[in-house]
Amino acid sequence: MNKLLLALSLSLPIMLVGGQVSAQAPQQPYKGVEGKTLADSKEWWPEPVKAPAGAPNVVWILLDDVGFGAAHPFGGLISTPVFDSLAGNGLRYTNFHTAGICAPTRAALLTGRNHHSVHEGGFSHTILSAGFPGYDGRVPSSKGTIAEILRESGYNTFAVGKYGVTPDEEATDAGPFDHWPSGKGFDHFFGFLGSQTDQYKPDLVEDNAHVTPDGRHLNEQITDKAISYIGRQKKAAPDKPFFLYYAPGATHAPHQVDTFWSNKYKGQFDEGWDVYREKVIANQKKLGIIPANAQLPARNANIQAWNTLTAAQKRLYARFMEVYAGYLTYTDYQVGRLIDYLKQIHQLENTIVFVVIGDNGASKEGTLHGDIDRSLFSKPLTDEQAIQYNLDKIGEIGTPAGIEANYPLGWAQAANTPFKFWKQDANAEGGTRNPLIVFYPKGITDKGGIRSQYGHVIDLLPTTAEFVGIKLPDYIRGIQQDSVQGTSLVYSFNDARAASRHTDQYYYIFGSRSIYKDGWKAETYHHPDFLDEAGVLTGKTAPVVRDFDKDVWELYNLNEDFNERIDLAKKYPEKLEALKALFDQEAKAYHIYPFIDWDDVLKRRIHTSAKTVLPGQ
Amino acid sequence: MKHKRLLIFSLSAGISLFTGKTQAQEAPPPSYQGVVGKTLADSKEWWPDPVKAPSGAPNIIWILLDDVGYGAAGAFGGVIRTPTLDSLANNGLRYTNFHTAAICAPTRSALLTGRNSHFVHEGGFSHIALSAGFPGYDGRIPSSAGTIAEILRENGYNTFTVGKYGLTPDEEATDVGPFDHWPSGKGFDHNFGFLGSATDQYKPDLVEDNAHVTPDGRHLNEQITDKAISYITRQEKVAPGKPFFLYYAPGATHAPHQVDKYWSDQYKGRFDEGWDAFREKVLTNQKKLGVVPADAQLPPRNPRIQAWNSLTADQKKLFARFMEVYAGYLTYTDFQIGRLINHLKENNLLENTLVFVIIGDNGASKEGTLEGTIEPKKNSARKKTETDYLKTNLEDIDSIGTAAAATNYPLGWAQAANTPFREWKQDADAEGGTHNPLIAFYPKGIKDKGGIRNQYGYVIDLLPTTIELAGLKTPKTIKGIAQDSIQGTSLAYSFNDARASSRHLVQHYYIFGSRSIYYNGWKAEAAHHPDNIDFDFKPGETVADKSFDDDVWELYDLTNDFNERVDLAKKYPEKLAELKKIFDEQAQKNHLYPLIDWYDVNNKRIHHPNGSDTQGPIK
Repeated sequence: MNKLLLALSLSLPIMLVGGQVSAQAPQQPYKGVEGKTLADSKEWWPEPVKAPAGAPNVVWILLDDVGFGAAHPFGGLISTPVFDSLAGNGLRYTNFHTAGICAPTRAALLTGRNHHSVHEGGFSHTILSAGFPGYDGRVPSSKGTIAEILRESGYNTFAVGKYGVTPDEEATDAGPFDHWPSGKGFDHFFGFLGSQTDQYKPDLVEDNAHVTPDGRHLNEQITDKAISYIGRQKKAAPDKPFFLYYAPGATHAPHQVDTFWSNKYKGQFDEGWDVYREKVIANQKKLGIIPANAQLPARNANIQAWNTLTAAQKRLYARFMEVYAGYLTYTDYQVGRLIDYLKQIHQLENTIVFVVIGDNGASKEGTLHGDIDRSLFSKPLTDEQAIQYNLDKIGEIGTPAGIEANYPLGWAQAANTPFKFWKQDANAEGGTRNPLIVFYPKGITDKGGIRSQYGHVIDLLPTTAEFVGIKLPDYIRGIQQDSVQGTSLVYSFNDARAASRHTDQYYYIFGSRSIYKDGWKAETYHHPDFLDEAGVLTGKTAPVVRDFDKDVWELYNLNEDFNERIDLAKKYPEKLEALKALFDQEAKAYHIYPFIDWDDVLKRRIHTSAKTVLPGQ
Repeated sequence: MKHKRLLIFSLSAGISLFTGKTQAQEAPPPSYQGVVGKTLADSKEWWPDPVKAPSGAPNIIWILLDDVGYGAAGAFGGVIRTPTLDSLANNGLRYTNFHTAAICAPTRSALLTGRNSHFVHEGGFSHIALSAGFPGYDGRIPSSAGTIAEILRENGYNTFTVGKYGLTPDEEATDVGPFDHWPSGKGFDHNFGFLGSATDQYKPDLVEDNAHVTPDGRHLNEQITDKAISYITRQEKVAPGKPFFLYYAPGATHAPHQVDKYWSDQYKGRFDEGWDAFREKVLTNQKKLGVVPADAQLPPRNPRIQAWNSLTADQKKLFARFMEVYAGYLTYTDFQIGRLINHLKENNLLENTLVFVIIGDNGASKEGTLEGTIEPKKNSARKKTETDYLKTNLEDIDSIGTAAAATNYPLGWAQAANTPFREWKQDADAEGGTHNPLIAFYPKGIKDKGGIRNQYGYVIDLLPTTIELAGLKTPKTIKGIAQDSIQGTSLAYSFNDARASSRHLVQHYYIFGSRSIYYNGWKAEAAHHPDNIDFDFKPGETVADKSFDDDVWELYDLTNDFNERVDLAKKYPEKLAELKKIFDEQAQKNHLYPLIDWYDVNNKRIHHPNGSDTQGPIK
């Protein structure tokens, strides 16, 4: 058994390494001749760093907190004409995954390596990081980002919107700036460093300093800025390609958007979240992005059937969803401005665009009744109090006054159709499965095609590198680089039937965890989870016993049961054990240990050297 | 317990397995000292100590003026008022034997890196026309020669630069970068100024951080001072007590000389006595101040320069106005430095701030030609007869110093501003090119306020001086890049010991042909022709190439002849041979070869991209 494990662990690195690492020396050796005078000497200049001829521009768009079943191109009822168009002229990846929460997804995406292995198993926030290699929230320079790699390959590199992987301690104007976007390969950055921000009064940063926001919606500002970066670059060097990482705060809470957008949905969600789910699954089947025999998982036990709600509740909850839908549509509109601009300046043809719709599943952080302006960490209200509080402020939902606006759990479940659970739940597809669109007019022949190859956010970096024709550098600025862990998806661009090459993947977010291998998945929910800790479910569920060893593992065959409805743990215990052993191996390899859960976070057992308090307390 | 040990063991095995090939060379990687168990309960957190300056570490300001001769500023005996510099010097130290590389970019690269200019690839400039594909000349400072900003940042400082940078390759100075050779790539958190060597003061080629920005129409000196103050204010607000480094390098007083009449008119009539009288007055002042020996004599007037009393009334009127403007420009620059210093004082930051002021990155400039320039594009001395040239300049006399003009003063004033030395900027052979005043101001650390220091110094010394005085460390690696040794010698030993003997004993100089070697008080030097005066001042004449072997070497005993008046080459041929040998050794070691001269530059023989016969950008 020991021998077997060893063999397994030996094979891991090999399996996880892409096959395209180059052997670039850190410096080009001097090849000139230094004589005593110019006449007996020979000049030599190193080759300037240059992108391959015709290399495309690259745009990565990453939305925030959007479930699989929200946006229209993946069957959702929220209008997103720009995404429709990108998907209609590109590819829809239906089996793509995120890490289950913001910072881990972003760190993994940017580095092409698993979140724990780049120290971002939690967040870079003081209260959500711990002094362990997998959790300290400081992405090391041996794990270069896509921006660093593309910069080394002759690209200009821009980021706008949410960054989310700068340690709190380093996020003031005094730096240090190594973990700011400028320290991670971006020539320019405009956005916010934290995990969420007010959309009208954002905690705004440009390059290496805070700046004063101008009062307009952040989505509009970041789009303007992205356009101005590109415009300036194309003016100075028309043939130099750019990389843009466009990561709006949308649609993370606070849901804030002009009523122009939210009022377009007036009355459209009055039928409620159960009907929403039915409609969406029907759409998804029609689109071919889920199996034709798919069924919805049962409604989550904590969510009331829509038809049992009071009229006041229905009015309140429906308004939350109108605002959310308006927010997403508005975000799509802003992405459209960017895409239109690229078209206008004749760059769109040679731009590869990736859109990851959501850095995790829909958010459960709005709790049972939604949130308008109360901190996540403030004292919970009773159901009656919460409903009344929100009804009193219903007009503020989506406005600048709604500084924490988030929709209720019922809508989060609906937005996650056809999956169960939510953001934070790394065990379940509802936490980790997100749509991916790949758009490249020049290179994708199967326009509007569907791809069901397994993918994860760490795959986008090698996909991009392979596609633009660059080798992953062994060194970046003299720092030797660890292997990239993702698997390029390029093999599937023009081959819908290619077998998945990304064959195993772990997930872990503050207790919840799972392991995927070749279509099988073992997973376990862990309590107390965030809802338990927030007191949202107190009295509604059985008291929680906290013990990692007693977490109950489930087993699913995703090949036949893509949305985890039939637990096979009892039927195939050996399969389950093998997967659990694999999880343990990966946990060791990627620094998932020690297991840290929400109880450790919220009881302030981690980062104990820092004197911080939870926001709102 | 046994189980735990096994777990830890297998974890570390996992780490080494997975990251087997990656021993990242990042600067001293503190090995992880925590314990990783399976759950938090059987683990122990560990955080590396954050990078932090030693408690009480001083703020540091380096001020570097541009193209100011030794005898210009009041603080060193000049007749141009510099009350701020006077005050800093009177409360600090005047270093009278300090040197620069004799031209902008070499001085700046040597200053910032603490290493000789050729050694850091900046034997020429970073401009296309002035760089060549050799290690000493490619104009790309390598990351193995970390700057003071990088070092201080590694020591927990914030780092700002405003004004002239001058070390970014032309090919990389657009908004698309790359930015490795911009200030942001060389350790500066923030930069506001211009990347080139000269700029219009009202319409500067302005950059902030990694992009060009639109200037607001005010004089650049005012803008950079505002920006420096705002950087400091912002930093003090978010991290009070965190020290900062500011590199304040105005474009002043490089050409174009541009300044509001408010400043130039303060000097109306003050230079009517002319440049010969100016030299006499300055030398007297310098003796009084003790910044030259009591028995110092002026070198003879350069043969190219006319005696003031032989000039026509028109010439006198025109030339005097040039100097009024120049003087106003320098006084205005001093005023802006005063705003910065006052800001520090008002915010109780000055006491713990170490300020160095280098008055000039080289000697006074000879680039203004014999008659001065107002609008060289419209009226070029090279294309006109002397009479016509003067006539046009007289018509344009009121434009001197204005926003519309590209003003530089005539050679006679440059010589005067270099009192008591001979030759000028570009002339690496002579003290007139390389000898510049240094002021050290540090209320907390200097007891001998107003003291004079005669120890030999060079721009590469400021980095180690600063590090030593601030109690900091020079890292062996910076962001994973192993660092070459610092070549400068700290001057800290002399701060409170006026009589200490010089510790910087050997120094070479080389700028496009002109060269010299200093060794323990002796100096061997060779001018080289054609120099830029040969090119600039002989319209219509053909300038012939000359062999380096034909250059005539001179020898001076600076201990007894500080301003190079008595050539001892014939008297001590062995000494000269010894020094020439040292020059050759230094040249080999620091990549001075191949010797590239102005003839090579002006005939575009350098910066030929690989395989090309002609000069052009590396693309």
